[in-house]
Amino acid sequence: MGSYSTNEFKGGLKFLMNGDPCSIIENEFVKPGKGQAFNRVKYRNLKTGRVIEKTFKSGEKVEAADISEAEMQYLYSDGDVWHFMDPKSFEQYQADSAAMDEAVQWVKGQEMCTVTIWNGMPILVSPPHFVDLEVTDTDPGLRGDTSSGGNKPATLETGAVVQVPLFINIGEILRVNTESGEYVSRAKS
Amino acid sequence: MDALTTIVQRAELLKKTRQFFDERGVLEVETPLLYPSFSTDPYLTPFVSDYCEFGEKRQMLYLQSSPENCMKRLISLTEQSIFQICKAFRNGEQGRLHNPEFSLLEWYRLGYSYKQLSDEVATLLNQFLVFKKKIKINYCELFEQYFNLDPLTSSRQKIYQVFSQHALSEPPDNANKQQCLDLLLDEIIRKNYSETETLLFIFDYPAWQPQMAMLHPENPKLVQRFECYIGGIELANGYQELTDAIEQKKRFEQDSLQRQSLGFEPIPVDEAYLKSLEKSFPMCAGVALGLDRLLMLIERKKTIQEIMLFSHERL
Repeated sequence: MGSYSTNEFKGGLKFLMNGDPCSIIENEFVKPGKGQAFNRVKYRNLKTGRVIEKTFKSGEKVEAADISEAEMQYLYSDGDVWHFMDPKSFEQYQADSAAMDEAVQWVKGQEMCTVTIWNGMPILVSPPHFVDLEVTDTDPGLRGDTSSGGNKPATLETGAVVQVPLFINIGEILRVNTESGEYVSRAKS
Repeated sequence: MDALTTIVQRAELLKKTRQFFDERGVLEVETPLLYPSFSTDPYLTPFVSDYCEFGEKRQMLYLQSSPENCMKRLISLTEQSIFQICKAFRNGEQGRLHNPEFSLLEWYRLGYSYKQLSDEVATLLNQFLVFKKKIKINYCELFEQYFNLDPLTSSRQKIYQVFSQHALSEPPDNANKQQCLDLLLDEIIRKNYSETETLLFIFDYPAWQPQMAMLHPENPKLVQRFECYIGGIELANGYQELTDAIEQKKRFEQDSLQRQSLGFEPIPVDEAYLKSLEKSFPMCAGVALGLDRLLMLIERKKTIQEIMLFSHERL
């Protein structure tokens, strides 16, 4: 597919390392001892999810990866596979649980997610930054208990469990930050 | 970035620097930026230009990577301690701490040992920064302390294994012994000496890359060279200047061969410089200090781009 040289390295660049698709997180130009210059790179192996630090000689090349990101609509899951649709092409894609990772607990249907595709296969799914989900189970909130402090766990319609303030009740819709897994506020219904 | 603040801070830095040398009787000089020769360091890439007359190329000239050769020619002529604040150029070097065009403060002290000069570097830096810790250590001691390794005698294999043993960033698998040691030193410094209040001097580097420094009379495997680090940033490089013309010529030749083997363009030898060494050259020590990096430390910025109004990617 082509290659990238170290001087093209930057955050988000997708390349292949030992056959695995990887994405650069950080890239630093280092020239110690007045000799050979290097690029110290932190990257994520998109297949295994591991973050790796590797130093390249400046000028070295890596294989470019046929990776793209697309906004797709989450349709439904049949337990093993999560189905997405590209709204531009109406093509459907299936993501496995490895690609879904944390996203499984935030999606209920119809949300637009960022899907990373490698060789036509989804390898990583990022849910929207914020989602609105209904509380299906929690200890009852005492009326008027809006005093500061105190949290309790609440189960949401997707199965996710988040810490919420004591005044939240079953049936309420909450806004959650999917990156931190934290309650943000009651959602405007 | 507040442009005016940066300009004012730089002007202040230059003013105080000139005052420092004026008080010490060190003369300010200016030497050419364009020169028919360039550093023989195989890992430096020059900006090349042509002197033309009526559209015809007459002479190839290089933008200097450092004023060293010309300043030492001046020393041979005048036997005076001198300093210079000037631009230096290193093609292809761009990053958090690198800009292809940058500012150097370089000075030479007649009759000083390199250790005495390192003390003067510390005195100068005390004008601008406050230090809680001042550390002086030898290159080999650092490796002994952090990796239980003798960098001079250890095998390349043993050195390579240190990276995985200490969970360090994986080095290129074709990195040679020198390159591995360079990377390990970088790791030692960034993991243990990265506070801005720590002033670190490392002395007596291995003689593999002697540059233009004098070997240690007691141990020719080492050169009389020091580097200064603050906040994990390499700020200055200084040494006891080599006065032996024959040794210098030999090093130029070795560098040329290495340049050739790496596939780089050959650089014409600086014959004028060699002549000045042959004539007579006093005992002296010299040091080059990155002024932009010093400004970064003074302004507490993490990247050179933040203190350069016209950094390369903004041009």
